[in-house]
Amino acid sequence: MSPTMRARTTGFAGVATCLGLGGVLLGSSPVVGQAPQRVTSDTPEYCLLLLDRVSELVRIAAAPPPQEVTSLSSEGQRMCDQGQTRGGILRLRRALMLMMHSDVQP
Amino acid sequence: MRILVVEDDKDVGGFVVRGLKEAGHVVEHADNGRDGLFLAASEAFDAVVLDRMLPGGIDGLRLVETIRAQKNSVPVLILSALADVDERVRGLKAGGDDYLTKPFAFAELLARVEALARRGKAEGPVTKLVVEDLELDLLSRQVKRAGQKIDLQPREFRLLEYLMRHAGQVVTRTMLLEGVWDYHFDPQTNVIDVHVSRLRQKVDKPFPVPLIQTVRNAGYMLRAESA
Amino acid sequence: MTQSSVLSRPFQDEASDRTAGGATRRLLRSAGVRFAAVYAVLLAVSAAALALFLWWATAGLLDRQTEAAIQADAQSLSERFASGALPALVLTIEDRLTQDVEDDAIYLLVDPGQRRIAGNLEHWPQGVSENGPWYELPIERAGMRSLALVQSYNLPGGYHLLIGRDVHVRAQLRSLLTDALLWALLVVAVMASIGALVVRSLFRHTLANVSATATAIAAGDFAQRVRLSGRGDEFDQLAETINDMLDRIARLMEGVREVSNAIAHDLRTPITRARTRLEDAALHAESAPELRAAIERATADLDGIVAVFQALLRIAEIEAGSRRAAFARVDLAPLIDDVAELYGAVAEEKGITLSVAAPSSLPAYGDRELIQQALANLVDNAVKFSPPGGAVRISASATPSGVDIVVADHGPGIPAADRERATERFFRGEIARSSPGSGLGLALVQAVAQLHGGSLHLEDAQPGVVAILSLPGHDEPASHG
Repeated sequence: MSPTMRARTTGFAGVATCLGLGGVLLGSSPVVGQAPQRVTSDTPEYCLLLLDRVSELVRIAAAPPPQEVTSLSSEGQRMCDQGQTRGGILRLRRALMLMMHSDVQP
Repeated sequence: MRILVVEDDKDVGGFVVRGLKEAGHVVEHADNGRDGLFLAASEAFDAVVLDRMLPGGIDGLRLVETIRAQKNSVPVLILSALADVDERVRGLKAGGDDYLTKPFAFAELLARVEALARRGKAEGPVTKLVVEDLELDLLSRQVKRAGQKIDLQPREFRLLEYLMRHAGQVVTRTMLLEGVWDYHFDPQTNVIDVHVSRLRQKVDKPFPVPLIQTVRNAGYMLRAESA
Repeated sequence: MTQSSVLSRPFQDEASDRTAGGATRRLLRSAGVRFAAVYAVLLAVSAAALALFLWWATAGLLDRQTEAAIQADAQSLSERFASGALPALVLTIEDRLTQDVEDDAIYLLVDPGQRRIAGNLEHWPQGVSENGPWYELPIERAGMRSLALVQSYNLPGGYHLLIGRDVHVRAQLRSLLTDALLWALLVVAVMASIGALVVRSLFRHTLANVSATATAIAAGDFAQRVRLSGRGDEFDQLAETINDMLDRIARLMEGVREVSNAIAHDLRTPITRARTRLEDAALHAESAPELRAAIERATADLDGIVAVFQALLRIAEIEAGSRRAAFARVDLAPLIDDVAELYGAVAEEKGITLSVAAPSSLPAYGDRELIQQALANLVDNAVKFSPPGGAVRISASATPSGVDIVVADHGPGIPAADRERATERFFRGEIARSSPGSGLGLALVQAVAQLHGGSLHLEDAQPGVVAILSLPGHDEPASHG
């Protein structure tokens, strides 16, 4: 590599590193260095908890639940059983929300 | 008069000293700057003739500046081979009173030195110049000779005034060109001669005694012949 | 074309430059490399600035939104605690979790003993001690690793609340952006290198023109001039200035050559004459008065030679141009009157009528003494060559560009063929040859005219000569002297 290229590459590598580091450091908060914590709202247990909630709401409802609620909650249950915990939890949460905000609440 | 000559060139120096002595002056000679400075500072002279290029560490201009700094106002004539205007100005700025380029005619040097020395002794402002029966009144701008009024044009008046202020001294053509017409170059033709001759027609011709003399190879002088 | 061949072409002589260290030193000295480096650095800095701004506007924005959401959450939770104490808070946290359709909320409520009361974390994370700074907490969600941005709050009674959001999307975006920007910077680096090369070669190309001409001239080829690109840009202006300077140098050198020739020719004559007289006197003089007379004549001859030298030096001094520094405003009207008066006496004696026609005030800009001398030379010539009973007329007038002074006589005049050469040094036409003079008068007038940025024109008065001296009147004369 001729001197010019050498000089230039060094220069730019330096600049790039600085920028990269800067980019990473910029606005970045201290990372808590330990083993990752388990989020307890992503477990099959939580699935069941949500399911219970939905069922409870359905039970005390004045009228039959909207069709969406039913399909979402059964889908959610199915997904949880099959191990797709987060997808299931998501649907169950949506079912719960829909149920809570629907007209059929007493 | 007492004149100091500071010149390192043997021929020129010797020539000037001899000439000045023959003209009746008391002359001191130094051939380098240091001696010249010493003499100028320690003795009283009526005029100093000084070459610009001097050996001995102190050149002509430095010498003049030094004696001026010592509040010594002796008239100084600077000799130099450097003729261009900037050098002239430098010489006069350093404190010189007149500047003569080499080669020069001795008559020119003598006339200028005597004029300088005379100027140094000036008695103060005058309102009238008188030589023999010729009277020049500077206030009324009138000229009279033997009681008779002479009509002069402004330039002729100034020419006569210059001659009268230097009465008894040689006045060269160059000095007249500089002093009366403020010219600093040589016009080649004899313009000055013609003007002087015209002046003579008015001032000398109608009267018995001519006052304006021609000095051979030098210039003119205004004085009575007998004097 | 490799990099090294581009570099080594003009600097092939230095042996030290063959080493790598020497080559780098040589590089750093080169102005072309410096310009190119400046360009490259500017480009890199601009690109970096742009990249940082992009980062701030995207990932940075996400950060700020997340932080705002967490703080809003904290605000409402603290209100809930204030109104309903611990049980209400616990309930709210659980509700929020069940209704977290965004699937990104993180909560943890612990008692003073750091035991978990509510939330979806298992225990208080180590290292999160202060209530203020934002922490990034690695979390595991259903077996997948992720990242949460959390903030801790103190509650009355020694309770601690941790609120956060899952920001793995942000983390992904951030790493994506960083990669992209680093690649972009690499691209910029390449482009900067190419651009720098282009800048450098442009630089060298433009300079090559000038330096090639300078080299040719230094080698003695004075006819070379710098080529103009025709664009009228700064480099062209530089080239024009250099060419002007070269023209002037050529003129001065030509002048010196002329003068040397003229001196050789025209001064030998009076010197020879003086020498001959002296030698003649030494060999043949019979008496002291004869010797003295011969010596006096020789002295007069020498004085004549000195006068010629003075005039030559004067002309050279004028042509050198240094007098221009002392230019000032001059009123030419009294100056003309003075010259007319000086030569008036001579004219009168010769029976020549000298008349002056000039306005009462004629401002010009220049050197008073030189203009005086130039005018005197013209009037001297006119009076010298006018026949008795003739007339010489000096007239002056203001023109749009300055001042014109005209000296007209009706003498024998200058034949058309000689008029061109009349202002050459030592030139004497047939008619003038018999009258006294060295042939330098008009050369001096010409030099003075040129110094002032003006001109001298000689025309036929049929018979006679009309000499027109034009001088600029304003403060900054365009001088090409």
